[in-house]
Amino acid sequence: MQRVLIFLLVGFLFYACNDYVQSVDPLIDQVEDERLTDASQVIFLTKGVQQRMATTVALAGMLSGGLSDEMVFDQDVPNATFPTFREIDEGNIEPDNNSIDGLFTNLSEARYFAEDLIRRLGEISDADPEQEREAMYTSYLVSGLMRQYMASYFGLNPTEPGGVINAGPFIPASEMYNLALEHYQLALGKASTDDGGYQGRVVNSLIARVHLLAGNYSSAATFAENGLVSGDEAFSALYTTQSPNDYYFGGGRGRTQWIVDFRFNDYITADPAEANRILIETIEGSSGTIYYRQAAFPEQTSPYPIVTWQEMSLIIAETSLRNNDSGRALSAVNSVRAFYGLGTLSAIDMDTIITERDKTLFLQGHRMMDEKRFNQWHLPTGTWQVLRIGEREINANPNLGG
Amino acid sequence: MLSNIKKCYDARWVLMAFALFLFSAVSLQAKSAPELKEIKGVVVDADLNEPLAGANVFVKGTNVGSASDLEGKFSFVYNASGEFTLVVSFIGYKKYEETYSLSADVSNLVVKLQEDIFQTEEVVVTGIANRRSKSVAEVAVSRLNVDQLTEKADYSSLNQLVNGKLAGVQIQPASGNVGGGFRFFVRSGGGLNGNEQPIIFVDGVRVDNSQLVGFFTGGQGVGTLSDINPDDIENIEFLKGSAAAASYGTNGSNGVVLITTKKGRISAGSRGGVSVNYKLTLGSNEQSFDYDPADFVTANDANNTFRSGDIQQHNINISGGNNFIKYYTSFEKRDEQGIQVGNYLNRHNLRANIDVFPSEKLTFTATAGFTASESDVPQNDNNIRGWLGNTLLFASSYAFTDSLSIANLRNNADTDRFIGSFQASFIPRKNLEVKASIGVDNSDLRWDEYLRSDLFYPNTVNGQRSVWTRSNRQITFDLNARYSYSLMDGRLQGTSIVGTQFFDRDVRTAFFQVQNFSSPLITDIGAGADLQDKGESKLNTRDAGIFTTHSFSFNDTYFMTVGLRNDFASSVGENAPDIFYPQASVAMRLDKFNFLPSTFGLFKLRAAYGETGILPALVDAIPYLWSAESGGYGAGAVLNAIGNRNIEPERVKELEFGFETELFGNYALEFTYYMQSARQSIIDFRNALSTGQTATAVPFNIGKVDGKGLEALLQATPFRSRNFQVDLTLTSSWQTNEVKDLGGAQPIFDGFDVNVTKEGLRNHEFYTFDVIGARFNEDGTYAGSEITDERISFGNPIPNYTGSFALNVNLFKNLNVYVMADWATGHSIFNLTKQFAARFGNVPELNRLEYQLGFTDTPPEGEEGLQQFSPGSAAYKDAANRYAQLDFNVDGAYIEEADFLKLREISVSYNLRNLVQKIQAANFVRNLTVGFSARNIWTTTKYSGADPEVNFDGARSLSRGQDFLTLQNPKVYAFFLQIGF
Repeated sequence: MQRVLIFLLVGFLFYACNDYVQSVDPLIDQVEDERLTDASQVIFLTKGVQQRMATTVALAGMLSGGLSDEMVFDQDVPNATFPTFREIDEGNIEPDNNSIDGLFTNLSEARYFAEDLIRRLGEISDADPEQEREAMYTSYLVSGLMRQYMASYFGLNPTEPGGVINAGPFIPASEMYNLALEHYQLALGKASTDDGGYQGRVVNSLIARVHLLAGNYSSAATFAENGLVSGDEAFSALYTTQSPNDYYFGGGRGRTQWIVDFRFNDYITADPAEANRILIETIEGSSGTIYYRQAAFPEQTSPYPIVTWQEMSLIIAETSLRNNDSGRALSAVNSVRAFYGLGTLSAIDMDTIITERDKTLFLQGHRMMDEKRFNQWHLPTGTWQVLRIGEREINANPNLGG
Repeated sequence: MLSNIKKCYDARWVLMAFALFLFSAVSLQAKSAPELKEIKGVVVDADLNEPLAGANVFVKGTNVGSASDLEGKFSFVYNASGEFTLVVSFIGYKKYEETYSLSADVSNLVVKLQEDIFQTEEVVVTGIANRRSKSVAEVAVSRLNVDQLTEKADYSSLNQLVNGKLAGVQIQPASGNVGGGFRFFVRSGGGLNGNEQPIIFVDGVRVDNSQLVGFFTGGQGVGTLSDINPDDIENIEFLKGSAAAASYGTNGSNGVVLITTKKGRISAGSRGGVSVNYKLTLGSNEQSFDYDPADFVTANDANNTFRSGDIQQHNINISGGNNFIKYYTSFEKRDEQGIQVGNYLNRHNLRANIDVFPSEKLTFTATAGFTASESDVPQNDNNIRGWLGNTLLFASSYAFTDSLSIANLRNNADTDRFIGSFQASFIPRKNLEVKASIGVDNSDLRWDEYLRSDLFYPNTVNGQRSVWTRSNRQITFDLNARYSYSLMDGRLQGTSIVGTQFFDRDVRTAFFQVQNFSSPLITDIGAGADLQDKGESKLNTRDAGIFTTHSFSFNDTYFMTVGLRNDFASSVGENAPDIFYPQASVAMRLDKFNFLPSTFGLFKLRAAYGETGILPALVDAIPYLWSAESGGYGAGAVLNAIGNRNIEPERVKELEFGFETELFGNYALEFTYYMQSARQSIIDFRNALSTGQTATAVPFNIGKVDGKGLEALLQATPFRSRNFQVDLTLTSSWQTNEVKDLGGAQPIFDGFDVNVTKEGLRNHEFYTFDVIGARFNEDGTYAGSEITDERISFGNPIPNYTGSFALNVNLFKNLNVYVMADWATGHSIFNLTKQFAARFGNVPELNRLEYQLGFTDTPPEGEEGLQQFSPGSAAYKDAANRYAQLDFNVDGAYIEEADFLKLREISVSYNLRNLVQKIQAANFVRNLTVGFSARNIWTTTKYSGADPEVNFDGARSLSRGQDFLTLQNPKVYAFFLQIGF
């Protein structure tokens, strides 16, 4: 009888232990994946896609600006310390550059979040139609934008731009641009017709940019003509002090690691009205040297323009000039200049357009591609002309030998 | 799994009911007619024939007894109902045990105790609920009698107590911060998971051993074990590996530390059974390493950041009792300043321990310790707001943050903590004991950070206020029954234990941070205009186990124990609903055979095998977890963790062999060899970044690591006489390990990409690129450094060999001198401080070379006559090669050998008791001791930096042995006065 009792007691203890360890309180700051596949979570998920887009785009602008001749890293500037920034500035990028890895991570997450949301929407049958449309529009736009960024900014070797998606093989920029266009076309299909068709014009603008970068000037012109127009707000990423614009603590008033090239001050010296277009301020180096840092994003909450009507005007100007329509080119450039209170130009050539892009699209992530498009790369041969896809990707990606 | 609503039905109460059932079901043994016996006598040292004051004299199996007085005399009454066994025990002496008949004359006993140099008779823990004397233990056990240490030196925290005293146990303080964190490294490190930290029990309560890092200080945090008052600790026992700790099951693979606080006792010479002891300590922390201007241009600026840090401690305890109740209460107040502004510890400790003996068969024990501590964590390490970061990096100091701003930055951790337990022990029959205990470790921490709005701080807009709160509650419940029996006419003795253990942990945190204050006069969190960050978390985990062990002793010569444990945990995946751990051990006393000469007082061979584990993290078994991230669009869903629903605990197996011997009565040697093997180690696979699924790496049970080591302990008392005694202790340990398999995963690196977990190497090995030499252009000018194509090994931040030597000399019984030195070899450290100083032009040698090589036309300040070399010349080549060897872009150039020898502890104390007791008015003074102790007073090391024992990233990170502007451990001087009534 005693043995039976002991057996029963031990058996009871087994049951009690198992029950005990499973009876724990739920987490409050995390939720299991399957619980988000629900109509009530569509807005929450959409905001997640937008949020990751925001943490990607300004950082991409800053690092690509650093690799280009737009910005400079100089340790004479107080608090400029990151060796990874110096590598970028000099184009001597090591495979473990964690600043670039951080951007690559954000960019890939934004793409994944967007595509994951599209997948979930396929499984949610009772979503609010408008919420679903907005979610689809956002997701397709962001998945297209991230592909364009991947194609424009990254590369596996110093001179060949392109990217990697979902641990796949390397995709050259030309192919990646096509993938971006496919997603933009899907976004166009989900663009709202409210608000005067603003969403459609945003997507057309992004398509115009891809065509321009891919060298399809005719298509670029067509879409730019249907893109954002004067009076349209820039399509911008939004920030808060909790999730600040990267420029603020990377190359701004919060911490100045990146300063802008001296030529931007020279532009203002040559024409003081340029101060309306080129927003910079001084900062003194440890040696007493006066440097210039950007003031375009003076606050942590300053929005970052992803695409603007000014960019469309400059695309129209460039494509027109390439099409020998200098009159159209000149008027497009002058419309931008007029916006900033600058005098009109009477003649135009490609160098002028390059300079106008340099000034107008200041810190918006275009200079790195423009330098290469116009054969103006400023660093020695053999240095990196793209942000290097690092060993963290290569080692974990079997398609890249990992 | 986690989203289940907590069930009302709670298994703990079922187990409590089970306990009550055991208590009530076992009938009390019938008593025969008793006879009142007066037991009187004297306890003396068998060799010196001197009385021993404070020996514990009691009747075996009861709570009836007394303590010997200053003359060694004892006297008490026992209601005997038959033959009984008298036990006399005294720390440092072998136990006396003698059985007397009812008619025996016990009114004039002379009990002679033999000194127990090797503490072989001391009862030690050999497993959960298992206690046996060291002379028969089948596993290597280590015990530290802390009360003997704290009598003769000042110890601030647990790590200082343990450091250098136990073979196979390394303790590395992450920095010289007062109140800072430290890290254990036990044997060869166990498995790959779990931070390599042992689980720690205080009076049976599993306590929090976290290093808490609130707001940014550069890398360091606050060690939760710093809350414990060393003066309250009676002893610390270590079960160092899986072989000994198997009965503790999951999470025991890095050993188990059992801390026992002081119990009430009737001290010899106390009046009315009450003794009062007061200890005053006054001292200072001092800079132990001066930075040299030959190494850093700004060395003097760095040296000027140091100060003398005052130490003041008051400790009072009251202890006493009688046959019914014994109590120990204490109060401690310790104020200690670190060696830099912004570092202090202010600790208050209250303790009350009570033992109640309502009957001979029933004991209740309650322990309660309350701590209120406040510590300020200084700014250093990887930190542009740090003292050393602003005085050692650039040739011009305070380039990031000025000294006024640093001095006014506050990072303050305020903790209230209660650790308490209640235990009931019931002996319903002579050979059956049932114990139940429940314990709580409850702590509330508030961490405040304040950066003044009228001072400049990088990354900060008009000041910053941050608050982090953490509430940690841990409940431990134990229930076990121990049954002893005898077979084969008493030649075979057996003990069987069955029990269960439950553990519940609940951690809640919340934080918020704001910036942009308009006025430094108003600093509440509501006055900050910009919310920077906020968050909250709750983590509830439980584990439980049932266990049984069976120990046998045959002819007091052969010993064997077998045991099993079955564990359950909240955090394991679907493949591991429960976890099974076996253990087995044997020992043999060769001294019981005739072939050994009588010079061997003891010679025991032993072997033990056991398995333990390390649990995965709570969320490791959940495939995807999403959280909310706030930003410009509101709060959006972002991927937060990626798990593996099949995850299981890592399993660690250990086999150890060893022996203990005692020679000539005054030499003792202990030796242990062990092999550890971890399988199913959890290796985190990082998805390719391009997947977008990189919030965390994904855990898999695919790793393997093997370890082995040797431990030796030699104790000797070569001289012992009435007025002169010398005790020596020598410990020596060797350990190594090798990562055998990562299951195809890439090597795992720390944040600075130098410490690696890689197949074929020791865990945490420094593994990076090195400089081969200089490269030259065709014109002979320097063309950069030539670097190895592959990474190579640079040694390990965890020493292979460690050891210590301690000498204790006692003169005329009153003067005591104690010295302890410890060393480590096979030790490397990454000198990031020098590397970054070189990068920013603050290393004079590099600056000279740059001028000599013509990289600059301006000679370093003060070296205007320095010669420049011509490219192609021998001097140029030498300079270029040296310059290449200091290439600050190559980590390997800055990893240094860091073997060291430290004179760790010195103390001199004198007991004035005899002098005082000659004064009639002061004869109530039982003890009056004055002393001086010092710590870290001399170091010799191969390392060129400040301290070979630090790590910039605290005591729990993957980074190991990396000195990056990290605060050195200080020299400590202390005077103390102890008085007892």
